[in-house]
Amino acid sequence: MKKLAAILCLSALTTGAFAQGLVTFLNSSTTLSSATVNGTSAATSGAPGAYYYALLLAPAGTTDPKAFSFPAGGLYATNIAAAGRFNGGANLTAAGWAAGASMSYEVAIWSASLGHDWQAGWLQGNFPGAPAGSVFGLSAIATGISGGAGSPASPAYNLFGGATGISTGFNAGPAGGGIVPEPTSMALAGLGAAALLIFRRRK
Amino acid sequence: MGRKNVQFIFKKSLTGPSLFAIVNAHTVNTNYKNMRTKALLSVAAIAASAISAMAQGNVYSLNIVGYATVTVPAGFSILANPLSAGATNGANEIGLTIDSEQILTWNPANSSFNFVSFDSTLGIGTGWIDAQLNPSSPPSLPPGKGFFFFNPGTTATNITFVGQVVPGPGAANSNSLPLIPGFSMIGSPLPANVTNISSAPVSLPLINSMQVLTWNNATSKYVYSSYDATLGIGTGWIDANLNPITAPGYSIGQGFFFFNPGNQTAFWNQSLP
Repeated sequence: MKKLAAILCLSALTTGAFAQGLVTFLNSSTTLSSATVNGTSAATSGAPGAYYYALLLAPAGTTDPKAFSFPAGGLYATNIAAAGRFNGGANLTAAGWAAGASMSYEVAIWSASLGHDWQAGWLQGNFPGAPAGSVFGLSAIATGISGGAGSPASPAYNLFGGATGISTGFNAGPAGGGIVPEPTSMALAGLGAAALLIFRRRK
Repeated sequence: MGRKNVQFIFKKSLTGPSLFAIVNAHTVNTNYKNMRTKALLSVAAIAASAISAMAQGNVYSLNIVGYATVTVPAGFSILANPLSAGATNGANEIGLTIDSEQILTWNPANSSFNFVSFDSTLGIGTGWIDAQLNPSSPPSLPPGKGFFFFNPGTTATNITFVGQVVPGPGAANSNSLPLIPGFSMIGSPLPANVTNISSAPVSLPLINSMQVLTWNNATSKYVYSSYDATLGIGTGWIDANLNPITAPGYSIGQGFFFFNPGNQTAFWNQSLP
């Protein structure tokens, strides 16, 4: 009988692994979001709802920011009163992310002028009819293991901070100019342009 | 005062009154379940008098030994061993041996629990088994390490931890518990009850965006508390909906999940008052 009870307990531990994962969608004072408007970058501010955020998922190890997607029933967040801070909630069920599974993720930010619902085309740089001053951007990519697995459940995974969460702030730039490149990408592009110029002069 | 290098141990017997009157006179109430800060202060007073004796030329080895009885309800609880039982601090050494009990320790590398159960009726090895019912060994549970304990009974039971208070008094009267980035399952190495977990002598450090997750046995859910002074909400302690809350308290033998939001190890420093 005790053996049976032990086996039942173990099965409960295993079945928990197939539930939806739990995450906490709240950034910290060291992972602030910012926006560049009219050439000036500042921490996001304004009444809650001025900026929206979405959790985009991809298989663990994905490095191409365009390869991420927003699952049906995915998670949103919005800015809060404190500058640069946003909150979607704690202990949230993350659609498309099984409990205890490892996935890569990034967070998209956009201004309310683009609407509050995620549009897949934004990742490809398509912002049809975007009003002037609209901004869009992506966080760095991180990989983590969601909570909610087993019984008792593992704690909700923090998308920001800790050993594996997103550890840096991120910026939203003018929408319509394609995906806002990361500083390293911009540096590489600059180097490439310089190399081309030198090559043309030598010719 | 001619004694030199004398082992000077304050000890309370678990099974009955001590044979030596001097021990009783210097023994604190080591039923730590109900132990209060005042009791701990008296421990400190004893330590201080002993230290004073040392200053007069004699050398003593100082230990505060006792036991802590913690009541655990049926089902899961998060506990932490408040006393050091020695080098291994194995679960078998600190009194956690009830048939069909389970001990789950946290593995931060893969964000999951390591499962060990004790069942002498299965006839497997020493009674300790893993999740596949293979023979296993009792986990090491030194002071400061939290763990889930499953009480298989239908009613609450008492678990008695036995050992030495850390940090011990004397020159090295401080203790530093590493708080790794991300989640760790911990408890106060120093046995004390406080209404605010960051108050002395428990003194959990305050780090912006840190989280303390305690376990509610009745609802089988975590109770979420976070601290973030930069949000400008109340005293800095907030719940999962960013509402202001009072700081969580701490009871002897209690364990909890701690989230270090930084990417560097922080330290939980404690010292005897």
